[in-house]
Amino acid sequence: MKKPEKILVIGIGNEFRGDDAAGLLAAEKLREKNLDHLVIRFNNRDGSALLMLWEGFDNVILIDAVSSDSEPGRIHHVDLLDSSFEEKLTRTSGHNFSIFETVKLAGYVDKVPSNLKLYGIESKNFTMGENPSEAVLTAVDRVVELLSRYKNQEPVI
Amino acid sequence: MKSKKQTKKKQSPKKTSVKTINVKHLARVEGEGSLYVRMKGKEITDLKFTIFEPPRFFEAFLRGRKYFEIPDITARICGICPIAYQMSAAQAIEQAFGIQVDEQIRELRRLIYCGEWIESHVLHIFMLHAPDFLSYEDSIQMAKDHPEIVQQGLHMKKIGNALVTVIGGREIHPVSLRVGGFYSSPSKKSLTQMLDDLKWTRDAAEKTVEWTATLDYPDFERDYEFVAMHHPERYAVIEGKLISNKGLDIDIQDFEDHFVEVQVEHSHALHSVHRERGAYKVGPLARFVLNYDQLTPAAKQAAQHAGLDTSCRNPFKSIIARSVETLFACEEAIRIIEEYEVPERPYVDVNPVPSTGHGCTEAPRGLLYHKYRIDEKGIILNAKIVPPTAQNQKTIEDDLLAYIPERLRLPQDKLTWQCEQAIRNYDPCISCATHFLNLHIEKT
Repeated sequence: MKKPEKILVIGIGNEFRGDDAAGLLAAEKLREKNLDHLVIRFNNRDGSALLMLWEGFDNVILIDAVSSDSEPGRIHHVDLLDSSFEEKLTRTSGHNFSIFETVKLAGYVDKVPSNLKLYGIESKNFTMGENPSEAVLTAVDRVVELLSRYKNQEPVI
Repeated sequence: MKSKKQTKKKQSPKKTSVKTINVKHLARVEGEGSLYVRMKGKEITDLKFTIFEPPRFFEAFLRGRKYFEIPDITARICGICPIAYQMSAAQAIEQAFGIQVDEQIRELRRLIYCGEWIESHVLHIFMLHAPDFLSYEDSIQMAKDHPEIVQQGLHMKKIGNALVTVIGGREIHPVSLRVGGFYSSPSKKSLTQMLDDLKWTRDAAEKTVEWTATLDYPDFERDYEFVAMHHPERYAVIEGKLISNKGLDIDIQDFEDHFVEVQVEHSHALHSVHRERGAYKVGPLARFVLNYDQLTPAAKQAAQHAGLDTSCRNPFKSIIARSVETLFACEEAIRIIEEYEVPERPYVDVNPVPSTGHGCTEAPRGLLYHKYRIDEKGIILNAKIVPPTAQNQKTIEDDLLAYIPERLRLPQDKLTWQCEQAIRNYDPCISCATHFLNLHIEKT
């Protein structure tokens, strides 16, 4: 039986900007679990770096803080290859390229993974030097639980 | 020729147009800044290249820290050029303590610096500056029509980053550099494994020089004072004295005797100027002009084919100089790796002595000066950091003052675009300098 392909999880964010640390925290917790089915990477610079990080992987999950008008801590599960996702995501980014722009760039240079999903954690406070909110930390644990649970199963995405 | 009378009539207050250019957030620069220009007729009455990213007070909070913490703290000033900060800091502290590091460590330092030059230069050439020349809003739009160019840039950058990672432990804010050398040195195998990728990048850099030579450049030159480090045998990166094309020839420790930082009301970044001659220019074009002789034969040849020589005073052609330096950095990295032997010990012992030390290296954007006063316990008493963008700020404003009046006939959006492009010639790193850009041009 063919061994399931490993899933690449990339935590995105800035550890020093309040809730923006959500993606990095989730990825770190997943890394500590040392799960066989996941490869964990981190990205705290601009989106273009993602193209390099996910090169060679077909199944990629991004975890990042997102900002809409929802309650902080709400988890958005978005198929980034679904063209309608543009309406679901804000284009704002603390970096040069947002995820939206990165996926667009990846499409132009033929570097889009077969499966590309986003676990977006609704965030509110991006103040420099502050800690993530309780609601966001709870959501981080929830995302970790969701991604851990797929052990021994076909790729979650 | 118009008579004085006719001129006076045309310039009556009611008919003189007022024009403003106002870019509130400059795009494709590192950090947050803006440009405001106000013109009355052909005269610029106000021009402010403003850095409004909040000051970060690094120099203040370095006081009281132990000397060995400084490279890791100052690395946090910039995510693009942390090596430059680490290296200038480490070498300043070493100078203060009277430490000499051996040739193997210096070569390893030069090698990781080559990785930083490659990743930083390539980022700016392909992702930040090239869209200006090809009339695209950004590199994403450029990628739609020129995917092969952007792909090439992304791959070159990846290899530069990989070189930094293999020596520094990680690509952003590397962790292996320390005062006295490195915490650990890479194996011969881990470096030789990079050779094929670096040779590919060298070839890609050669093509990049050829490609940048085909871009359209505005007809614009200024008589700059170029300032750069200079080493008699090597293209200066981490060591040398300071020279200029206007007669400057000084040791690093004499920097403050010749250059001074001045505060300007409209910017959170200090302007560094020559005490007597004012604005000066640092960066790839300055280095190319001053240190051409030390370039590798292939880099010289590529520059010659691209029509770039040491008489160049067109700041827009900095993109060619940056490409030549990328080629040079690849060749230098290959040379160092081929000659590399793992040092018996990757660092020399460090014993604090009360003193003041000065350190200078050539960050991708230009000269980066550090100075530290340290006590007998190795505690930092005072720190001073002069980043390249602070040194180029006044020159950027002077470029715009000379560039705009001759181009007032241009439509507002095109003029604004060209002003932004002129600023991006310097690959300004506002985050470093805040110690970049919204543009506001006002014509009256």
